[in-house]
Amino acid sequence: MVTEPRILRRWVPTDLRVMLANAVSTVRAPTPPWRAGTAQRTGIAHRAGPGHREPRFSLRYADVLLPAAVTLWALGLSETDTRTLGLYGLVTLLPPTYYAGIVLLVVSAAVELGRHRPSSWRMAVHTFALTFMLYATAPIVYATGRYSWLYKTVGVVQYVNAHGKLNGSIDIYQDWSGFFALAAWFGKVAGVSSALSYAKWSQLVVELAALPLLYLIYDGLSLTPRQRWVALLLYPASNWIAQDYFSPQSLGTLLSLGVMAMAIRWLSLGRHLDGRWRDRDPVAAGTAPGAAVRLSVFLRRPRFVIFALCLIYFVLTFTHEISPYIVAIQLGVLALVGLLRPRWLPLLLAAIAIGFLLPHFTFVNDKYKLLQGVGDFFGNVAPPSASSGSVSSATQLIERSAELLSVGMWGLAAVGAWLRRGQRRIVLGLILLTCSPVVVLIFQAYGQEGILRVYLFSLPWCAALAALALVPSTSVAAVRGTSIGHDAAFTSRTGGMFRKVRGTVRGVVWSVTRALRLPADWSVDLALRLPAGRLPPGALQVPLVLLVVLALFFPAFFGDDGFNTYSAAEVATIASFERTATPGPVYPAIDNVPFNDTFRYNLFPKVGIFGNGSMLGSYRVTSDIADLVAEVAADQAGPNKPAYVIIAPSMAAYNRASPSISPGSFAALSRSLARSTLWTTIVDHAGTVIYELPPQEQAHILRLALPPSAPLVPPTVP
Amino acid sequence: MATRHSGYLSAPISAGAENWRRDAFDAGACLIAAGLLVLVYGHWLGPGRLVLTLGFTCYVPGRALVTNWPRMARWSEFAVPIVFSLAILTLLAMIMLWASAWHPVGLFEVEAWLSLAGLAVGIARRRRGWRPVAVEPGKRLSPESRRGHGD
Repeated sequence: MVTEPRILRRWVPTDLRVMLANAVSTVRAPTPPWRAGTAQRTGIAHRAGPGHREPRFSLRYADVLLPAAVTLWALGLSETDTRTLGLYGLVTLLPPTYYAGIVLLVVSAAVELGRHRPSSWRMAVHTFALTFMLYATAPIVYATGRYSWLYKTVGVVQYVNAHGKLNGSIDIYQDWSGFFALAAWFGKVAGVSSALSYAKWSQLVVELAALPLLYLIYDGLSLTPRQRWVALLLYPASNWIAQDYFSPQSLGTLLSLGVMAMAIRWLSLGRHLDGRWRDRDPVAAGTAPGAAVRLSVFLRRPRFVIFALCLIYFVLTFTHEISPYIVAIQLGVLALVGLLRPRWLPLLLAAIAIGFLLPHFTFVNDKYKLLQGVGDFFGNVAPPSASSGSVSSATQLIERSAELLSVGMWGLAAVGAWLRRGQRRIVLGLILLTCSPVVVLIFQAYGQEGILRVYLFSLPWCAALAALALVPSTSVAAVRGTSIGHDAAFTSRTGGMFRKVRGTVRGVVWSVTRALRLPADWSVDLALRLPAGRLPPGALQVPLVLLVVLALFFPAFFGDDGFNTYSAAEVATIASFERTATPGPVYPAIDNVPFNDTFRYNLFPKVGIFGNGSMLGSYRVTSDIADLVAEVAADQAGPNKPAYVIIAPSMAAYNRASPSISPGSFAALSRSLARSTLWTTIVDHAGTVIYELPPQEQAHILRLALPPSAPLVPPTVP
Repeated sequence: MATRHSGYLSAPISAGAENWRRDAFDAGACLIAAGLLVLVYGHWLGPGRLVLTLGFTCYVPGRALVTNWPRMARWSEFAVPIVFSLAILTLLAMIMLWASAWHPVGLFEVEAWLSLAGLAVGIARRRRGWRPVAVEPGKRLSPESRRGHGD
């Protein structure tokens, strides 16, 4: 028996001494496992037997590894300097300590998952920590929000607060305006003058808010606890789409998850009729007190739930354009195969969505050619990158990473569906939910973003199937806490392989320590530190897959930051111009500019001068380019209206990644504008230059012969 | 996070602990709503108000609803209130916009006071002695006990 030193008894509080004693007893095996008997070697019988009781709190590896991971991550962030973003965005700027923190977190989660009874609260902390580390990185290291399109949503919010009403003729945002109403209300209650002050944190908030909803969904799908945590780790690690920025679709995602969680918990028949599930659910199995009554009551009277679900769906309908249709399709497919009751519910939901669309249909169809993509499935499948023209090799690598991550997740889901095909209803439901969003591509390309929405809406189910692939379902006995907690076939396969590897490594460790003439105790000790016994399900696959997913996530999510981020000076300069300038069309050299973030956003229609869908396309820059732009601008601005050209540092960064014009073209355009007598420089600050074509100068414009290749796209409120 | 059938499986033993946890959730929501009301009435600005507004938006009205809907509360104490809160606040803000009667701070005051009232009612209902009724398999619940379940 070990006695405590007197000084420890005197100065260390009793509870701390107990905690330390527990930690020591947890960390150190009392006898060498490879010399002990079978029961002790497996480490299961005496730890997870029927009479076993875990201490109330014992220090585990994860309790040390997780804080260390967060510390390394924070240290890495403090060393990150984002003033010179390269072609790989933030990926190459983040220091090794940052990545070490992420890897350590994955290891910590794997160690905790590797325990025979993973602690729920520890896994919850790991999941939240991983999400925080991934999605808090950008708002911490950047002064302003990422993505040029974020600034437009800020502008709509400002418009709502300034006018207190909507104008559906301006753009589609004013028609599907639930998010903007909420954000405008939020801004007034929070007492902020512009949503720009907090918009960059949106991704973190949305991803954190999605986690409890996903947990509910996975609980409703009766995944085992280990599978739930793996799916919850995979979801934020593979959500590279970045639809969670300050936008309607971020709110739409949360509402959609809420609708699906309620449908799966309260209206899904698979949960109650599936034989495997019934074994594990005391209510469904009839072993819980009053279970039969409650089940029948539940099946008979879900009308309050249906009402609440319809209400949330109605809010979703006027919040985002496409999300309600995907949700209706997902529920409809479930109802079609008899996994959802009442079967008329998807029809009711579709009626709500279509009922809201009909009054707005003419406007939307005129402006966005709603019917153009109907039936063109393969055209609608094409991702946005397909139309981006020539790109740098770095951008190609980033795009391939994103594609590989998407295809890899779908592939892993397919493997999970095949491996667990025995769980018929659950797997069938998950397959349908994963695949059904594809149906939307029959009708719409959604601005070539349809495929991204499909991935986004399939991801929760895809992550669940991937978790099924990585972690086998726990046996019934394990759930009841009476026996070994994992699948026997899996254990024999993995465990056998693991034992061979462990034996080899032990031999190597023993040989090395003896060769180095280390004390014999050391070599024995080092060899013993290797994990003993059979590994729990998914112990090796989970961290490996998670690390691969994260390795692809970083370039896909942070790789484009070179042109998706803007300096505070650039944002402030352009916002100041927009607040005070006389309304008129705006021509940024390339349409990658933090513009339209004020309540006057609708007064400055804009179109890029160069690039896809721009005023001049890939027209070669000549010395008289300023006069050419002036002529087009004068035609499009109308009488007595000025026009503006903006050149900003973020455009050059964008052109480096996706070259639309030669790098010297910005300088040539600037020189031409500066030399021209038609254009006047009105702003020149921190690399951002704005030229104005005053109305009185438009009479002096020489009529030039425009190149036939010039598309001459008129400026619009996008 | 979710609570899974805890009200059914171990009602006599864990009802007190569950009620304590629900009271804690409700008290937290009350604190957020009351704190934000104080800041709004006092015209105080700053990051604290922003964080409290986020907490209110993501939790408080939904919590006030769920705490009075025990069946839903037994299923989820935390996640469902997030969805309900976002949906309710979005719907009310939209109704104001559609009605061209945009008074966001006034709307917040109404929402906050109603939420406080709802939370207080929820706490009072539990304090009055509501507890899950264990029914033997095969027996039917009486109308009174069903009402007790808040269906």
